[in-house]
Amino acid sequence: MLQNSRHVEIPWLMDASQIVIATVNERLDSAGAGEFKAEIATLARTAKGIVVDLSKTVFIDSAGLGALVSLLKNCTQQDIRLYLAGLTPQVRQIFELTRLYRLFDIFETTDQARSDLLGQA
Amino acid sequence: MHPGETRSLCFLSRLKDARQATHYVRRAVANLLPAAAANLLELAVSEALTNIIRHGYAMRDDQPIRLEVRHAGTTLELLVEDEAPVAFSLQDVPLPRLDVERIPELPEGGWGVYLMRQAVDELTQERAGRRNRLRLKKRLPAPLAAPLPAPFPAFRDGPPPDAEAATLDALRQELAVSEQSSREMAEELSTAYESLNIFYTFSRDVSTLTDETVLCRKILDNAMISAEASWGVLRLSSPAGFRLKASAGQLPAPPPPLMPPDAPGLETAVAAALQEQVTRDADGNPVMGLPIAGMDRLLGILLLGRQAGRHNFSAGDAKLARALADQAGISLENQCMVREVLDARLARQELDIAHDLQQQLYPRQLPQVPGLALFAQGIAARQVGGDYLAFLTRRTPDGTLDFIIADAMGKGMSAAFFSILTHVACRSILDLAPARTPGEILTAFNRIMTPDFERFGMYMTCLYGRIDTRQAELRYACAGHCPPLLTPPDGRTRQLETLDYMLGVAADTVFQEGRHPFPPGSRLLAYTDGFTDVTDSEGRMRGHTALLNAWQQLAAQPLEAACRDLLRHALDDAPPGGLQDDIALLAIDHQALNQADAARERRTAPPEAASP
Repeated sequence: MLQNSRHVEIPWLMDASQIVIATVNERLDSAGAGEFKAEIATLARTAKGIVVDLSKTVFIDSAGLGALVSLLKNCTQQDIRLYLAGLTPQVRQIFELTRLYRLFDIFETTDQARSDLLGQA
Repeated sequence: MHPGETRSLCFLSRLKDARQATHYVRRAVANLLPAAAANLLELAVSEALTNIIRHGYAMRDDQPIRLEVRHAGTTLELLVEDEAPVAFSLQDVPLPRLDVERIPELPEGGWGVYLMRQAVDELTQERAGRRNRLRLKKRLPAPLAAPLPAPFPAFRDGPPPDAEAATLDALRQELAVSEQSSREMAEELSTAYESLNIFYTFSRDVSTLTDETVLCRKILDNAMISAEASWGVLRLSSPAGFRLKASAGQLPAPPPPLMPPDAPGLETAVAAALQEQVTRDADGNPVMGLPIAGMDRLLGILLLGRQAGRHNFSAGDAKLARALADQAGISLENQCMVREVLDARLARQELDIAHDLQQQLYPRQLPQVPGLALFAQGIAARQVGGDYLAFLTRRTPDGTLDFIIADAMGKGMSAAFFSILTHVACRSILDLAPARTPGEILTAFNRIMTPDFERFGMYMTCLYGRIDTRQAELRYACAGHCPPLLTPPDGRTRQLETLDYMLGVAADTVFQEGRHPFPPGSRLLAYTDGFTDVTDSEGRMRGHTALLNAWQQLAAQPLEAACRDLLRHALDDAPPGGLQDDIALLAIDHQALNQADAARERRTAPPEAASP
């Protein structure tokens, strides 16, 4: 199992099935969105599926939304499945306002998202 | 935050500083808005600050931004000011079209202004001199949201059993009135005179009353006399709903009949219509409800009733009772104002005490450290802020000097209180663990204090530094505080990094440390944002760059003269009303040791390690 350095913004784990679980921290905003994009772009090269765990995220702004859309575009172009999981009420509120929930596959928990990805593999 | 309170923050145009500022707003409004609305407001502030930094300042990270949050009673008002040449556009951009079939073409932005508009009730932008001003207004939930208590007397739809008889009576009376003689007219005039007399006496009596209970009793007595009521109840609104303040006479049969839960009560009807309602209770007894209105809110409700068999309240009764209720509203409002004036006087006394406390904390005597020249001064603005500064020395001199400069958000007693806590906590940590580095001291201080910061809804910026004259080194940790200015022996002043977030954001923050050579000939200036937040006569904030330039120009002057010049500039630049915020500065020169000091230093210096 691969694990990234604990010093970076987004901790992630990749298991033998090449599914990456990337845990976003409390805030995905303009101060951290650039690092999120850079960090996760490297993952997209090797993974088969990515689950973005938003269960710790209590604040997301338009830059954070932009980073998620950017990731979705990358994943779509490279034929990688992208799931979002564990949306907190705060994040869900913003997804509903911007109607972005229509674009993403959203699961209650990372386990559910991972099972779905494994089922498709 | 309390009604009328204003909090402000000035910071540099950096995204991580903007993140702290949004935290700051969130904490300030936490007890005023429901969670979802507070979340959106925090988002709106984040979007505004990001737009200023990205589009206004084109990502320059040394420009000033000022944020002000004001609790204006019924609204929350946020003001964001910047000095970018052009304000970012607030033009509405339609939401991007989200088409799952065309994901590669999706835009990666365009939600910012839309989200800001969703978050607030008013969003405006203006240019004032060199500044861009963005105003965000959010209505606060209505103070009368508390439910009414169980309505008092019971009422039912339709006429009471004897309504027909009463109607006949009324018709006969009207007929009689139309035929009344001049004697009857004179009687009416006499009644009107009596009413006027009641009204005059009431106005005179209540105008001097300041005790709410006595005032309520007086209102009720006069209303009952004027309306010839046999019972009366007066309730005043409070944050928890309407509370009984006075009752008199023989109230309807005990226990007071309550309304069925699905039927609207008289008090509810009065509160909704904001005018008097005349009706009968379940037993057919006449009842009148009157609103007592203040300048812009419902203060209370007055209920008056007559015993069974009495005539219902006439239009004349209602008119007089209404005039009394209006006068009662004015009296109650006046009484609130008197109370507010007394409260304000108390608050001013509290501020004076806080001011004295804070002045006591500023260093009276500077410590003597061989090789260092020191300067420290704080000047309090009219409103007491939370500036704190101190030099801390060890019990055994070892050629080091610690210093601390901090700024607690907020004003008055709580800010002064936090200054004292800082004073005690930092001295204790240093005394108990003298080997701790500045970063470790701030980490421990933050861990100890964060629960208290959270409880009081407060943050604190802090710079903790240590000069080691033997190693010729400056070490510092900086929790969101204004970046210190370092002038090395070559005379080129530069701004050091603000390394970390403010104290009180997260208890587990590990504060980083900056280390810089500090050989003889070096100079350090630490200050609070009162310096950079000063607005000059042209409406410009001085900002960090102006301070850097001013300090650079003073580099050749002796330390004390340079500091006094800098203070004088700040005071000269302040508007006529005086400083908006406290200012505090602390400066250190590393001088070459004279011979006597050098000899003393050698005596206290630890022995050199023996070479192998």
